[in-house]
Amino acid sequence: MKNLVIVSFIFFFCLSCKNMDEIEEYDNTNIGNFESLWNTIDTRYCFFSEKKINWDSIYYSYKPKVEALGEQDSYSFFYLMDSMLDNLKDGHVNLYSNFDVGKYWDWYEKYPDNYNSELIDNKYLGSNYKMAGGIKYSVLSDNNNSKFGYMSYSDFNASFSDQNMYYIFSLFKNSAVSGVILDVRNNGGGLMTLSEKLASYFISEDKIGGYYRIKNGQGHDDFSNYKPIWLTRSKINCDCQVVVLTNRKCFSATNNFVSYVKDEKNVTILGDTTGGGGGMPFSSILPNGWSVRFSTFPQYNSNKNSIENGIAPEVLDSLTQTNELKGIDNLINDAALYILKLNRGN
Amino acid sequence: MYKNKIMKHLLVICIFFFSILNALARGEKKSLITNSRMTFSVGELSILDEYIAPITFKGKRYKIENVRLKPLSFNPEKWSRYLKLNASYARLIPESNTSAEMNVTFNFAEGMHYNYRLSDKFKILAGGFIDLDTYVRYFSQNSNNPVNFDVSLNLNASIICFYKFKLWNHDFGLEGYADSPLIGYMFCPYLGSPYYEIYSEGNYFDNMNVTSFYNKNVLKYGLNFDIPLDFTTLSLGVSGLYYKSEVRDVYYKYSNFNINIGFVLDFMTLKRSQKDKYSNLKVIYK
Repeated sequence: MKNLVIVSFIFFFCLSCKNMDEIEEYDNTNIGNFESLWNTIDTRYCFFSEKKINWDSIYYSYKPKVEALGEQDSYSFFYLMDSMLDNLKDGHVNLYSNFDVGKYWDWYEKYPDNYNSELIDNKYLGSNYKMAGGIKYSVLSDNNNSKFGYMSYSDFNASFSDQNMYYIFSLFKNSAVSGVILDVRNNGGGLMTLSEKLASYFISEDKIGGYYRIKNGQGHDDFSNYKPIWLTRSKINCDCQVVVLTNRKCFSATNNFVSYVKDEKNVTILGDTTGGGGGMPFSSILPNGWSVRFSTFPQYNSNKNSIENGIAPEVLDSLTQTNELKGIDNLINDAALYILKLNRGN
Repeated sequence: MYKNKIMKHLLVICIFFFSILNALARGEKKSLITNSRMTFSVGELSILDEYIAPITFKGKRYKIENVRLKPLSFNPEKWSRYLKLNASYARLIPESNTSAEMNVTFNFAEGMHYNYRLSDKFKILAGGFIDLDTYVRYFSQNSNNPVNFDVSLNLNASIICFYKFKLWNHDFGLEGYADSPLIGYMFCPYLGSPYYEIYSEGNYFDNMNVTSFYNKNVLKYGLNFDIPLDFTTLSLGVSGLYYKSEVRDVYYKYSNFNINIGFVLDFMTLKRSQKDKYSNLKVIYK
């Protein structure tokens, strides 16, 4: 009995030996929601140092504005919080309420589109294009009867399979195309796994496509070591000259894809700098039920340089108004000419 | 590197423990009586998981559980085998009522207890068990991380008390229990590590962490009142779970209180040839 008492005592003593710190739960008031939002971003956002953002000063700047608002004015409070989050200059940061979504779109709104979907549909794809998975594709010819494979992929949430790619490349091979134009303009991103998968069809060998670092603490600079993103070359491969068309609306997973294939000898990036979005998004919920999305870990290219601010093309090109009015997408035409030039050089 | 070593040692201990238990179990004679308690519970659950959001989700939890105690053949008076299996479902919402969490858990435990019979009426079982806890959680509002899973393997200390008393010429019983993990291994990603990254990169083992009192406090408890009926024993009671952990700077608090209703059966499996041989068998748990 005595032993039993001793054991029980030790048992229950051990239960209380660690007094863990309780985390703060915020009230469902404007101040409470502001504190919760600020603190969530402070402990979990990953680009403070890279973007040189003084998040503490943002706190002191916005708190008086929150205190001056009435508790019933949800709209004003929402847009005030949205403007606070705009200081992060991150397209992956959004505030969701029942009546609106706060967003930051300067990463493409301040730049020309360099893309006209009607022009592509009417003049290049026409009505005879094919679709495999989420990819529209066709064979284009120039005035000299040179042929080019054209692939348009506009959403990295639309999946595709090895079988899809096999049929796409088979058509191109049977048509004796000089090269492939892969158009990812206006592709705002989607699944990271699909960007890795698409890259596998265009790389020459297995390689490290890039890196990422996990945020392993609540400090602004608490990161793990660089972790590699391995890409495995698919057995179904293009094996030809490829020109990837980009514009400022190439964001997130599309940005990753461009980063993965940029260094390939047979791949050329043509167009405008991509929109960036090198942070992996994550979500949290505020006491009032609004949710906030933010970048939680940074991604890098194969040289360990950040891709958050976009990837510059190798050939800078833009869609001119003159050509657009004539019904010409000069980026596609320039890509075709570039392929022919590379083939002549080889 | 050291984490892998600890994991290996923990796995060896678990395998060793289970091997002994299974060896002992193989020696069990089917003539020994198994005490089986099947309960259905309804209760309130609240979860605060900093990884998802620093707000508490609350709701109703429904659980079904079966606990079996069976004497071990090498010393049936003093040692018994413990088996537990339970599953639960809960739907939780935050105070703002803008989202919901669906929470499904499974738990399997196996262990052994030493029986202290202090008197004819009062008995204490003290020992331990290893349990495997798995959780699957779905969040309707979290588009980037909608499905989470958690798994933990724990070595628990356990104490069960039985008190028998006579009332109106019938044998009533009170059963109370408490258990708590001493050491374990649990899946817990960093605050900045979404499940999407874990799934796509296969970083499962990198997110396994050793737990013990310094970072995880858990107490499971219950009190049941057994009422004899003509054909079985009805069990009414309460149970609860208090859980607090801080692993990898991720704070997690879970508390649950249930009302239980169930049945207790004492049974043994006999071959036809054994029926006469065991007609005068002494019942261990009566």
